[in-house]
Amino acid sequence: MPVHLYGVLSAGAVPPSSVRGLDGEPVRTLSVGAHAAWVSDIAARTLEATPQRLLEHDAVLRAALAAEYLVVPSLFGRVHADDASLRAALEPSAGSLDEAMELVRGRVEMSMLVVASGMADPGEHERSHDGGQPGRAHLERIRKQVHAERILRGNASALLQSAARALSELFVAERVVDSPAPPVLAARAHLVARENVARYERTVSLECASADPELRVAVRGPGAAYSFAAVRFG
Amino acid sequence: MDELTESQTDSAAISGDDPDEPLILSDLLNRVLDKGVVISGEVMIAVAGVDLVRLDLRLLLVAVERLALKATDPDE
Repeated sequence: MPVHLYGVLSAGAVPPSSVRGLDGEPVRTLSVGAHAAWVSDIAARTLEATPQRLLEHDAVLRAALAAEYLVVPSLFGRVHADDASLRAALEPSAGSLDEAMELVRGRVEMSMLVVASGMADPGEHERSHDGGQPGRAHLERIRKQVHAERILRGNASALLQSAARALSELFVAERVVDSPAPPVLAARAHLVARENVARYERTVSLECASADPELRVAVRGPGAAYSFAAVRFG
Repeated sequence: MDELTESQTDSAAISGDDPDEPLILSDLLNRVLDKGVVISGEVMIAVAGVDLVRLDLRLLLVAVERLALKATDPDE
């Protein structure tokens, strides 16, 4: 039966009984050499990405972190034909997995996101241009929107760059997210020692307190270190 | 400026009550989605029946691949 991989943990890490995987399936342990892979069965090898499934995938890994297990997360969508196929894919990577586990030992991923603090009602602008030359007004509106968004994205990136400088002592690795999915304007992820999580949150709050009022900063985490030590194949 | 922390925003499921749910999903899309996922058409992120974000995941997957390449080159 096809299996979906959530992550690779140190041997002996047992999923809490309350944890459910994709589509509510129970999460089980698959022994792979000196490691334990957390997997669940899925109905078919073709797996559609849905928001609910992304949340379910992440929830399994958050449960592993909450239990203070050492976990190298898998990105969403790693599906193998069966247990044997997954073992065969993981076993040659035992050395890399050991290195990844050392990287994430005692560390979690934190991220800073910037969004626009207010969303204009798109219908409002539409209604104000009902008369006159609708085609020209429409193009002008698009031009202004593109220009405003470009400026906002630039400001958001600059804000995170400044905050990252202030955080430099608190993280060991950084990833700047390229082309973040909307509504996020800019995002950076950091690998942070667990004991520095509270300082990370405070520092971001202080650094961004006097920023552009059109921007809003959110801190996400602590979470699995997808950006720095994710299991990848192929 | 508002500043949100995990305790305010995080949720294991879509409840429909949190205005930051699009942000949470965007964060997951940016970090958790892998290339190689079979995608057909678009994924609509909807909360309480209201469509909030429409994403063409094929484009997003390209972005994820670019990100992976960028991560291997610290000078970029």
